[in-house]
Amino acid sequence: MTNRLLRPKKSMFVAFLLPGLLLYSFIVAVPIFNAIRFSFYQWSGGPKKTFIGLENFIDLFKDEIFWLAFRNNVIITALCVLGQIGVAFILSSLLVSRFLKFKEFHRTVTFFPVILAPVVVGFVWTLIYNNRAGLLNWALRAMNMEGLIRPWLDDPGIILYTISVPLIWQYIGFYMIILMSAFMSIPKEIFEVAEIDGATGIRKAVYITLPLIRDTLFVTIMLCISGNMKIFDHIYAMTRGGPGNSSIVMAMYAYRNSFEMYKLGYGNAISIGILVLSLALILVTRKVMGGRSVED
Amino acid sequence: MKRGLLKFLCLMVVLALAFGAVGCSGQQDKAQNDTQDKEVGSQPSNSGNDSQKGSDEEKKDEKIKITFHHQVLRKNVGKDGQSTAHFAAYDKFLEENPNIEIEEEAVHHDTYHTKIQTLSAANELPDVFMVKGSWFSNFHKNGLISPIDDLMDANPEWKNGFKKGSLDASIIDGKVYGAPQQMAVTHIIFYNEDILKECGIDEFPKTMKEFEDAVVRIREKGYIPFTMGNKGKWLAESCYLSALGDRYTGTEWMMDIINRTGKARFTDPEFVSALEEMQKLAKMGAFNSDLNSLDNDQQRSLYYNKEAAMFVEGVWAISRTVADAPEDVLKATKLTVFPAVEGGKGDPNTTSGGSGWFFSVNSNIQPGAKRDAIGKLLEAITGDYFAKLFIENNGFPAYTPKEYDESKLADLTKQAHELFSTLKYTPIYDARLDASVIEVMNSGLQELLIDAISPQELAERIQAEYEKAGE
Repeated sequence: MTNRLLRPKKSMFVAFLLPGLLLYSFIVAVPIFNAIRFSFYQWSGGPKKTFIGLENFIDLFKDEIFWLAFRNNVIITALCVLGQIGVAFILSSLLVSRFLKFKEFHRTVTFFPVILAPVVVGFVWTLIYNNRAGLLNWALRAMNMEGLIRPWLDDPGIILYTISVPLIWQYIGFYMIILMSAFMSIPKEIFEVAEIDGATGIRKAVYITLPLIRDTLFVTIMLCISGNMKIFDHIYAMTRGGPGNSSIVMAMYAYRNSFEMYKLGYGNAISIGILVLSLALILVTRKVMGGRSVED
Repeated sequence: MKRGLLKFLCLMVVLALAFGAVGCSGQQDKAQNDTQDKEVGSQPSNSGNDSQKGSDEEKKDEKIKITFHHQVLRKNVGKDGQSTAHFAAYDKFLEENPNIEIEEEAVHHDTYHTKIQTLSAANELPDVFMVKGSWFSNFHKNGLISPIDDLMDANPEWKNGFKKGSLDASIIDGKVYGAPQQMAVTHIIFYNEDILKECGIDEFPKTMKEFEDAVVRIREKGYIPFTMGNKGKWLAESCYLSALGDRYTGTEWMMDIINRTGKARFTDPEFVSALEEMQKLAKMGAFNSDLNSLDNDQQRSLYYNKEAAMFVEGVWAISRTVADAPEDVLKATKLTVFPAVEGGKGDPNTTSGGSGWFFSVNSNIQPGAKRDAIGKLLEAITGDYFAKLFIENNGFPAYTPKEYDESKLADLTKQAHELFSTLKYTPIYDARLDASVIEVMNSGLQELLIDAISPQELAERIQAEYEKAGE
C-alpha cells in the first residue's frame, strides 16, 4: 500500500468483514462447537443429556461399521479422483485442441449433470440399474451380452463400483470447466514451440500441460477428496447404504445413528470423526503433493 | 508468493467443505418451519368481555386453548380413509365444543418426524401430539409424555372400545400413554389363486413343509413365488419376520424381550431358527433377485403383472391393491398368513398387528379443565364416530365401532376383516423394539437374504445392540 490516503481505516476493514464472519460463525463454527460438545453426551433427542466423557469416541474407535464406512469413503474417493479428474483431463484436452468440432455443445452437455440435484441423479441411476426395466440391462440384452446382466444394486461385491459411476458421471463437467480454464491460461507459444520440436498429443499433455497446471490440479484433487468424504445424497437415494452395510459411507452412518437410532450423542461423535479423518486425509495428500512441488 | 496465496486459498476452500459435512449433524435445533401447512382450527370467537369473575363456574365459559400437532393432512380428505374420517370427527368436535380453541399444526409424515424431534430436543412439545410406537420408551425416559389412564377411566365406554392389542405399544409400566386411530396388521400374504392352481396348489399350504414345496413348484413354473421390495429395509423385518419369528419363538419370548426380563435373548435357538427359515426361503429362490433395490410399491407391480404369485405386506396395501391391480388379478387375490411351523412355540392363528401411531398428551398438562378438554378431543378423534367413518372408508380402526355400513367396503377389505376376525395379534417388531435394535436387524436382514451373513452371526449382532440399548 503506497498511498496511505486511499487506504481505509482499520475499523472499516472490520465493518466490512463482520457480516461475512458472523454468517460464517453461525452456520459453520457454532454448529461444529456444538457437535463437539454434544459428542461427550449420551443423548437420545430429549431434554435429558448424560455426560459420559470420551465413551462415545472409545465406542467409535471400536466400531467396525464406522471403519467400514471410512474404507468405503476412501475407495469411492479414489475412484472419483481417478474417474472425475482423469476423464475431465482427457475431455478438456480434447476441448482445447483444434480437432474437435461443436465445442460449445460438448461443453454444455458435459457440464449439464453438475446442475442436477444429487437425489435426482440417484433416482435416475436407480432406474438405469433396475434389474427388469433398467436401461443398462436392456442395453446388455440388446448387445447379446446376457452373461453380464445382474441386479446391479444388489451385489455387495460390486456395489461400490456401481454407486461410484453416477458420482463420477455427475461431476466430470465441474472439474472439466476448472481444468479448461487452466489450459487456456497456458500461453499458446509454448505449444507451438513444442510442436516444432516434434512433440505430439500425449507428450504435450505429459510434459507441458501437466506441469503447468499442477496448482489447479491440486485444487481439483482437494475439492474431489473433500467432496467425496461427505457424500450422502446419491447413496441415500440409490441404496440407503445397503445391501446391509455394504455401501455405507460415514455421513450416512452419522445420519443413521442420529435420526434413525436416536443416538444423537454418538451421531455427533461420528461427525467429529469425519472431520478429523477428512482433515488427516487432506493433510496427507497436501504433504505428498506439496513435497513434489518443492523440487522445482 | 503467489503460489503460497493460492495454496492458502485451496486449503480454506477445502476446510470449508469439510466443515460443511460436520455442520449437518448439529442442526437439529434448526426448526423446519417452512413446509408446514398450518391451520388454526378455531371457532368464530364470541367470548364476551364479561369474564371478569374468577369463580370455577365462570371458568367453563372461558376459552380453553389446546395446541395440537399431527400428521393427518386436510388436503387428503376424500383421498385416504384416515384423513377423511379424522377431519369429519374433528370438525364435529369443534362444532360441539365452542369453548375449546385448538391451535392445530399438521405437517407431512416425513417432516413430522423431524419436527417432533426438534421440539422434543428443545422441550417445546405441544399439548397433544402424535407419537410413533417405537418412540414411547425414549419419550418416557425423557419425561415428555403423561399417562392418559385418568382420561380413559373417565370414559369407560371409550376405553373398552379399543381392540385387544391396539394399545399395547403405548403401555409402559402398566400405564397407557397414547390413543391410536389405526390398527395396523403388518403381515398379510396376498396370493393369486389362479397362479397357485396353475402350479397344482389347490389349497394354501397348512404347514411350513408344504409351504416350502409350494415355493419350489411355483418357481418351477417360472413365477417368482414372493415379490419382495426391501430397499426401505423395514419390509423384511416388519412384514415377514414379525410374524414368522413369532411362529418360532411364541409371543411370550417377545414380551420378555420387550420388557427386558433377561429371560430371552436374540441368540436363543428359536429366534435363530426363524432367521434360518428366512435365509432358507431366500436360498430356495422364493424372492426376486433384486429384492434389496426395489421398494414396497415396486414389489406390488410384479404381482400386478402376474410375474409373481404372492407378496407380503400390511393393511395399507389392501386399498392400494384395490386401486391399482388389474381386474383379473384383483379377483384372484386371496389373503392369508404364514402357515404353522412344526415344533414352533407360537400360535399359527396369529399375525403381527398393533397400532403404529398414537395421540399423546404432554407431561406438563395438569388435571383440570384443560386436561378434561383434551380427553374429549382424544375421544372424538379415536372413538366410535371416527371409527365408523374410518371403517366405511376401507380403513382399519383401532376402535370397534358399534355399527357401520358394510356395503361401503371393497371386497378385499371385507375379506381382510373376515381373516382378522379369526386371528390374534402378536407384537410388530419395529413398533415395539428400540429403534437402534431395529436398525441393526433391518440392515442385517438385507445381508441375510443375499447370504452375506449367517443367521447365528446376525442374531449375535442384534443381541449386542439390544444389550447396548438397555444400558
